[in-house]
Amino acid sequence: MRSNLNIKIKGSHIWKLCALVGLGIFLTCCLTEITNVDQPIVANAGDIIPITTRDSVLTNIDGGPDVANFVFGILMPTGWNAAANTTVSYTSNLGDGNMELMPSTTIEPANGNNLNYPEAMAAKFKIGANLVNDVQWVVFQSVQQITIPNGITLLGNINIKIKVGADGNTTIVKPAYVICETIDGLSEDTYWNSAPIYSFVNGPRLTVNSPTGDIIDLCDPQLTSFDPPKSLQNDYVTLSYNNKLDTTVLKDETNLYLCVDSAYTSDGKVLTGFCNQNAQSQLVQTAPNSGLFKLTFWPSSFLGLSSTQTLTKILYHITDAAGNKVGLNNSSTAFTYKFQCN
Amino acid sequence: MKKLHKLNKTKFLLMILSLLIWASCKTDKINPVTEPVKDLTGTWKVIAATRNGTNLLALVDTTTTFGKFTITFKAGAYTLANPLPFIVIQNGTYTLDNPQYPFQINFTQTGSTAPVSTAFTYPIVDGIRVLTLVFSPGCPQNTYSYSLVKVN
Repeated sequence: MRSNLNIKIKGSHIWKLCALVGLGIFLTCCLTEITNVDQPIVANAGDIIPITTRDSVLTNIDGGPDVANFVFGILMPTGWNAAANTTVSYTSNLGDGNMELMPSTTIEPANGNNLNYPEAMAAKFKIGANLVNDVQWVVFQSVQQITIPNGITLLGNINIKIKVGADGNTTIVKPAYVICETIDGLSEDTYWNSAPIYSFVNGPRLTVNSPTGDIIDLCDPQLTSFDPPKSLQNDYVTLSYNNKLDTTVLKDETNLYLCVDSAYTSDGKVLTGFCNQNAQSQLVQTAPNSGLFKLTFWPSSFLGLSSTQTLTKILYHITDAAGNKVGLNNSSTAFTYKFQCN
Repeated sequence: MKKLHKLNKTKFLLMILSLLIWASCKTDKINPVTEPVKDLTGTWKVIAATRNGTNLLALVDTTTTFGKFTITFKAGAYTLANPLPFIVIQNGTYTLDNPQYPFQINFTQTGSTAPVSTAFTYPIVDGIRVLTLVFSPGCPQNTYSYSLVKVN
């Protein structure tokens, strides 16, 4: 009787090879790092400023080489319209080239929610080191695909030229920068040496000065702020007041109210008399001793506007029950909030 | 000889059985299921509200705001009670873009000729119809979502 015990599986070698290659397809890059950011810290609105990131990618690719586009994301104030005001190029030991805006239809491969690259960066990195959500991620990719071999150190510079302050305002912001490639995107997987496949860094604080316009501070804690930062009279707006930044007598008070000194409408009228202390104007501390007080209100209703009136701005103070007031920079000058979308 | 006879009888019975089974099968006509017409009639109140993803109900005194707001749909007209930031602020008329498979509600405020359209979803959640409207009452970059259920 023939023994059935020593039957060799036909093609076992091919089996093993397929398993390895299969594994290889999922193993890609790389130790990726933005090693340096060269960025101005002051400029004037309308200037085209140069920013350079020095980048290093140590490749470890099984079954490579990889063919991919370099991806570069920047976080800038929404009002600068960076997508229309930025040019990006790169130099590297694998060749030089230009970058173009990433199509909004390109899905970032690692997020699992069908988000495109700007959405995925916003979900992952939020607003970077800023405090006001009036910034946006703008993403570029290399015009050409790059063949990335295994086992090399890819060194390069990404060179940006951005026209700052397109909205004509004085703006203070902390930009941020991200590099990755189109095969792995923003994957958190680390296949080798716990090495990240993307790199994210916050740049230094940048102040862009403008002789006209408003002062928009996106990264410093503010005595008061509005959320959303851009809204109209029919938005539901949240006013926040931070008593830890208050140096006046109000800093120890918890019974606080919004006092709107004047409301300006587009027909040139100035409305007054919105300093009542009641439940509709009272700020509420978010948690005991947090020092952060909030009031969410509907401006149109708070100010009793008719449907034909268009609110353009309000001048306001924060007051305590005794009527003491705090204003701009802890002075008696009123805070200003403009109702606009751009 | 006996064996053969038995075989023939079996075959014959089998044949009759097959005929009977075949004859008993009725072909069912598959009637197309008609999608019911969506009916918003009734008074609706807000159970969830967000602004740019932030929960609005946690930021306001709901008893004086969202707790009192209602929208009533009846015979092609809508009425608002205790208004809040919303797609429309005044009463008026409404239509659905397609009564069976609607994606949009079109509101026309009294005194205005231009309708304001908004997308909506209308799923059944835990056995209850939830009407969710997504809109921008102020700046277009600010997105609000109100989810409503019937009061009665």
